[in-house]
Amino acid sequence: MAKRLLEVENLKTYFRSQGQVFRAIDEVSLHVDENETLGIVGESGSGKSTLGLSILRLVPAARNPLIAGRILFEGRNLLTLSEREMRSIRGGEISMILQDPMTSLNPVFTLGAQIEEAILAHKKTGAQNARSAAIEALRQVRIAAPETRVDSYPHQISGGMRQRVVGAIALASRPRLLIADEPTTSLDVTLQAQYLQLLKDLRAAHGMSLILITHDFGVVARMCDRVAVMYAGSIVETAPVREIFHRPRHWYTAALLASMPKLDHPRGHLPTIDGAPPRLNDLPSGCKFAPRCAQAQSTCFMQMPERQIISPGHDIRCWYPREAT
Amino acid sequence: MMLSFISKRFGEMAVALLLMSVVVFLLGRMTGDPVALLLSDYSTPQDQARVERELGLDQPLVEQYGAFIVNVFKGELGNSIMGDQSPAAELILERFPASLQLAGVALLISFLIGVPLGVVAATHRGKTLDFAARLVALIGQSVPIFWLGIMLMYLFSVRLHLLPTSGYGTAAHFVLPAATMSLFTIAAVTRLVRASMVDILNAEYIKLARIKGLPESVVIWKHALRNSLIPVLTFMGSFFANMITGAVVIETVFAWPGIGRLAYEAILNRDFPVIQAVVLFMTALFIGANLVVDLLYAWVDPRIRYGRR
Amino acid sequence: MLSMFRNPAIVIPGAVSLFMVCVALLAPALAPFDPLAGSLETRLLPPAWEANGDMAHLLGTDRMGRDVLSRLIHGAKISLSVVALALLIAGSIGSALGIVAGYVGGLTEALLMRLVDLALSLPIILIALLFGVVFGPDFGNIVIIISLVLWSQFARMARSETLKIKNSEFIDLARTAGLHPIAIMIRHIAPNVAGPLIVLATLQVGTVIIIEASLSFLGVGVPPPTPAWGSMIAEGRSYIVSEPWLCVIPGLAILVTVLAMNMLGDALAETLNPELARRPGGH
Repeated sequence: MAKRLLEVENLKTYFRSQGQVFRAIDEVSLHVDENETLGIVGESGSGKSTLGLSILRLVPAARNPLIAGRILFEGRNLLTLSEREMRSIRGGEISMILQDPMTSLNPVFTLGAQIEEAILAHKKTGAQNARSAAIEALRQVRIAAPETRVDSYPHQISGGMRQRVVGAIALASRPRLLIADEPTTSLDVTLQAQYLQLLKDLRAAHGMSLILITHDFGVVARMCDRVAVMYAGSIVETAPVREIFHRPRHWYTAALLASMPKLDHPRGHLPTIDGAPPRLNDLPSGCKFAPRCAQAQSTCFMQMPERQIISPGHDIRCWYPREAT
Repeated sequence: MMLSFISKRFGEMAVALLLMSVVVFLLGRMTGDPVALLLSDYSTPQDQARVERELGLDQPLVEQYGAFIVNVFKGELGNSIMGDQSPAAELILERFPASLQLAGVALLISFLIGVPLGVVAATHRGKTLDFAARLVALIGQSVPIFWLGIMLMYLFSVRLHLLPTSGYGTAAHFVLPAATMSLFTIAAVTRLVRASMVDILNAEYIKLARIKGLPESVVIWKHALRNSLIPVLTFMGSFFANMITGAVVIETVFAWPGIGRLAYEAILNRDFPVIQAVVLFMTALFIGANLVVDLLYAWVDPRIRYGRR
Repeated sequence: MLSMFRNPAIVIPGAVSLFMVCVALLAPALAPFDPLAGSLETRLLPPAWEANGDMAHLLGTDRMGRDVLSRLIHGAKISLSVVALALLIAGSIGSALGIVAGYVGGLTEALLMRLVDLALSLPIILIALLFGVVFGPDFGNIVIIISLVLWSQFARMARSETLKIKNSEFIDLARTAGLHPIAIMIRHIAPNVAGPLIVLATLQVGTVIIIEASLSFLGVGVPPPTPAWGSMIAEGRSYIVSEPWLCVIPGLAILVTVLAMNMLGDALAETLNPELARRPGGH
C-alpha cells in the first residue's frame, strides 16, 4: 500500500463579498499518495485553481476567504500551522506552477535571481552554491546554455522557455508535492507535449507527487494515475484513470467525456451539456448538477448526495449513478 | 542598445534646450529697447547707430541669436541691472548650492515618506490606514504650497517659537522649507505607489514569489515595490518641474538664499538679464535631471535597458 | 449614470464645486462691498467673530480697508474665469491636434507628438515667469500661459483615444461613404473621444487654480488691484504676525475649492475612466 502524502478532508473555501457568500470549494475530500499523479478535471470556474491555492493557503486575502476542513500533509494539518511554518512548506514541501508563463516571472529580476531566491528561502547556503544550483535547475528543465541564460531577464526568453523556468523555480527546493495549475494552457501543441513529458520525467526523477489541474482529458489520460472530477466547487467523482474513461459512473463525468473531441470522429458535432453551471452564491440545495442532469429525479433536487465508495478507489456523489457497463 | 537609448535621449534634450534658448532670446528682444536705456536724452541718431553696432543689434536676428548662444556657452549671461551690476552667472553660482541642498533634502524626504506610505496604503487597502494615506495625499495635492509655507511659518515660528521663521544656516532652518517643498511630492509619490502596488499585488509573479515560500515582507518590499517604482519614475520629470516652481515660491516665502529667490527678486525688479540667466540655468538643470531619471529608469526596468524584444 | 448622483464621493465635492461656480457667477450681486473701494476708517478690521470685529465686514478688511469677503467673492470669479478660459483654449486646441495626429497618422502624427513630448519636457512655469516679466501681469497673458502648460496633455490623450476607435466599423463606414476627413473627425471622432477628455479637464481644474494663484502670488499673474486669491495671500503675507486672517482666509478658499475639484475629478475618473485615475496630478 502506497504511503499517503496529502489528505484533504471536507475542505471548504468560501469567499465573502458584499454580504454574499460564494462557495468556491464545497466539502472537498481527496488524497494524493507518494509517487502518484492525481488529475483534477473540471470546466473553468469549477474551483480547481482555488483548490490548489487553498492547499498552499494562498487564496488572495482581498477576496475575504473563509477556509475550513483539514489539509493533512504528512500527517500535519496545514490549516493550523503558523504563517512561519507554512512558509517552510511553500516551495520547500509543496510547490505550484501557475497558468500563465508570460506573467509568472518578475520582469525586473534575472532568471537566476528568481531561482536562487527560491533555493535560499529553504536552505542556508552561499551565493556561489545558490547560483550553481540555479544553473543546475535550469539544466534540469532542459534550457539550453543555462550558464548564460541564468543572467537573462524574463522578457528576453520565449513563452515556452518561461514556463520551464517557472517549473525550475517551483522545483528548486525539491518539494514532495507539485501542484500544476493548467501548466500548458497557454502553450502551443508541440510545446504542450514537451512540457508534459518534462513534468512526467521530473516527477519520476524527484520521486515526488503531482496534482495536475486541467480541463483536458487528453492530458489526464497521458499523465495521471487517478482523477477527480470537479463541478461547481465539489468533487463529484474520483477514480483511477482507466475507470473514469471506461466506466464513468457520474452523469456529469460521462457528459464531460462525451463533449471531448475524439480522434475517430474529428469533424462530427460535439454533444454539449445543456445549461450553465450554477452561480456560486446561489447553489441549488440538492445535487449541484441536478438542474442540468437528464437523469435527475426529485431526490436529486432535494438533497446533496453523500460521497459513496462504489468500488475500490472509486467514489462518486450521485443518487442514481450510471450503470457500470 | 543601452547606448542608443542614451544617445537618443541626449538628442531630445539638446532639442528641448535649444528651443528654450530661442524662447528666452526672443522674449529678451521684446523687453523693450536696450539702446534707449543706454543713451542719454541728448544723443544723436549717429550715437544710436553706433550703440546698435556695438551691441550687434544691426545684425539679422539669426546672427544675433548665434552670438547669444556663443555667449551662453562662454557663461556670459549678461549683467544684472541692479546694484553693482554683477554678472548673472556669478549670482547664480553663488545662490545655487543653497537651492540644491533644499531640493535634495526635500526630494529625499518625499521618497522616504511617500514610498512607505503608498505601500502601506496598498497593503491595507480599504482600511483606516489606507484612508488616512489617501487623505494626506489628496490634501497634499490640493494645498497651494506658498500658502502652506506661510501657515507652517505662522504656526511653528510665530506662535510656537519652535523654529526660525526664515533664513539659512542651521539644520533648524531646513525644517519648514523642506517640509513645505516635499508635501506635494509626498502626495504624488504616495498616490502613484499605492495605485501601481494595488495592481501589482494581484500579479502572477507575486503569487509565485509567495509559492516559493518567501516572507511577506520580501514579497512586498522587494518583488512588488521594485515594479511599483517604475510608474513613479515616469513622473519624476513632473516632480522636478514642481520642485522648480516650488523653489521659486518657497525660497521667496522663507527668504532662502537660492536661485528661486534670485528669480523672484529679479521679477520684482524687472531685472531681465538675471531672469533670463536663471531660466536658462534651471531649464538645463531640469533637462539634466530628466536624463538622470531615464538612466535610473533603465536600471530599474531591464525591459528598457535591453530594448523590448 | 444616475447612480452617480447617489455616490457621496461625487455629490459632496460636486456640491462644493457648484457652490463656488455660483459664487463666481453671481459675484457682483453677492459681494456686500465694492472689492476695490477701501476706506481708512475701516483698515485692518479683524473678522466678525474676533473681539474687535465688525458684523458688516464678516471676514474683516485689509490694509486699505477693503472688505475681505467681497474680494474673496470677486477672486472666485477671477480664478474660475482663468480656469474656464484656459481649459477651453488648451482643451480644444490640444484635443484637435491630438485627434488630427491620431487620425491622419504618418509624418503629421510624428511631428505633433514630438512637439507634445517637447512641451512636456520643458519647465513651462519658467516660461510663464519670463512672459510675465516681459509683457507685464495681465489677465489675458495668464490664460495664454496656462493654456501653453496644459494643451499637450489633452493632445496626448485625444490621440490615444482616437487610435482606439480609428479602425472601428462606423469610421470605416463614414470613410467609404466618401465623407471628408475633417467631417469624420468633427462629427464621428470628436464626440466619441470627448468623455475621457472631459474627465481630464475636471482633473486639471485644481491644477489651474493653483498655477494661477502661484503666478499671482509671484506678481506675474492677475495685476493688482484686481482681487485674485494668490495676490491676496501675497499682500497678507506681510501682516502674518498681526493680522493672520488676511493670509489664512484666501488660502482656505483655494484649499477648499481645489480639494473639492480634485475629489470630484478623482471620483469621476474612477467611475467613468479608470485609466485616468492613476495619474498623480501635477501643478
